[in-house]
Amino acid sequence: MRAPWTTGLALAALALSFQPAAAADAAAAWAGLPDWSGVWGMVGNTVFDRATVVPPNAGAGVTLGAREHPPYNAQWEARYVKNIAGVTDGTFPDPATFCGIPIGMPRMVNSPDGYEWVVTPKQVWMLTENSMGVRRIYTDGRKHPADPGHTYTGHAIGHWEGDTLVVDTVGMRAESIVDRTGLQLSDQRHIVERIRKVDPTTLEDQITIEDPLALIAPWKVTKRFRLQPKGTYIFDYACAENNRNPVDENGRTITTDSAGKVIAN
Amino acid sequence: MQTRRKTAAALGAGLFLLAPCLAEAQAQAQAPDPAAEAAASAARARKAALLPDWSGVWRAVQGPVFDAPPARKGVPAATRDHPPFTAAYEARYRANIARLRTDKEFDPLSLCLPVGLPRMMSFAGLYEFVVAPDQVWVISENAPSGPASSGAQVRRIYTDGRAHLTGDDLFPTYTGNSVGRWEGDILVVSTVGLNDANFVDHTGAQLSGEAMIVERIRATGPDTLEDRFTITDKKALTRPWAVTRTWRRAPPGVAIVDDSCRGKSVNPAALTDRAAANAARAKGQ
Repeated sequence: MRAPWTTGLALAALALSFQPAAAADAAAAWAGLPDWSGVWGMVGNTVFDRATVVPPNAGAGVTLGAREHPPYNAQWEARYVKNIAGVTDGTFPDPATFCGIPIGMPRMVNSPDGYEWVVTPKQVWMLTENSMGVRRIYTDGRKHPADPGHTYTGHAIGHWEGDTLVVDTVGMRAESIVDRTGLQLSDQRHIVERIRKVDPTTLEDQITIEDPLALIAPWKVTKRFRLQPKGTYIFDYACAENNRNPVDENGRTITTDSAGKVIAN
Repeated sequence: MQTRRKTAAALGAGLFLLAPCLAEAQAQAQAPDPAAEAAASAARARKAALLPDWSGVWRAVQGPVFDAPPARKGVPAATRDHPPFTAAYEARYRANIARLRTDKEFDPLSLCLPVGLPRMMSFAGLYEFVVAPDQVWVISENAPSGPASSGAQVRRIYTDGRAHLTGDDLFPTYTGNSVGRWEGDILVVSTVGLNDANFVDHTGAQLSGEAMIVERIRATGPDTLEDRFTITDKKALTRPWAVTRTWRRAPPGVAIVDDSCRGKSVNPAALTDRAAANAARAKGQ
């Protein structure tokens, strides 16, 4: 099926890529990039701002009524209080539970299960096992687009300051939740992160969120990720497979058995 | 909450569930080791120097029928594959084709299930082939991995010399278990452990859980990637099924953005980037 000239092209390409100059360029491009390979797991539970959560050591969505204390303005504080009440009475469904919209940022740095940080010369990917999340951080010097629009993960650009990846993210959608206590931010939020390996098995992400619509001061949160033992695999994540947590006609998340019969709400 | 996650994180599932508590118990930070980190970084750079540069964004050349000849003028697009199916699997394929005419929800994609392999490799749209020392990822923008995800299907190919998982650890998954090795600039990948409910493509072709996929992926030019598949399946196929798929490098400025199977997907950033790329091309840049 292949045209005969394809082979010639391939040989030419091979010859080209084996030139010592190309290898030297590749080595130079990779030089100094830190080794963040392996599978990582977030330290702690999925309460986003564990420093301010009440009660202390609460679990998001597990400890009903639990809340954090972001520097919200009065309007967004009122909205959060309403969301917390919705979490408590089951009328604030979590998209990650009923298989709805993607979790987006910053929730992607607040997920259980495995993480990968794929560091390459022009781009870093953050991959989450939970929800099979893909986040792209461009480190090739590009700027944010003039109009980045609004997506779940936003538009992220980064640069290296020594071993620290500094990431700037804009253009995220408003309807995402940050964690299951009911935290939300506006689509004007701007996230700056400083990510570095603080010891051989710990990655630290220092997150600063500014939001002119929702926050009166920068909101600072630090998340840590622990390197998992060698041989730990990340597997496919299928939210819709055997989903037992649909949302009913009243907007409440319910739990069904495998035949679709409601067994809890 | 965990019940839906039948295929996720089974190896070390206990580990993942316990991870927060374990990690907290061990949260006393170890001493940073700059010398060891510098050595690891240098070792990666040496390995990376031997790998091809497949960075950037790639667009599938062929249409979504997995084994279709390239489109030609006056030749209608293929509507089905012709794998060397056994009689039983050919009959099953025909039944699937018939059922799909009326039952669109028969396609796992309509339920926002991950498309898996080999279907994720035959989606229209954009791809990334992420080459790093010890591991390669293939990320397809449009091949959904389900709701609540960023939309992309992610596939992991381990090139650190490990063997396939075996026994109970090799349970069926959408993307299977892939290991690879480099033969010069060619990535040779072997995949087993595939879910027998996967569709090969939207036409409804299916393989058995015994399927084994071997791929030879290489750049055939500065802007073209080729993946030569050889699929063997002692239950479904009478002989190996050979298929070649190709990708062409997308113009500069084309970026992959979130897709969402259930959410309302909007891609303004991509549109902006594509508009910029088109304008640049129009100017002859």
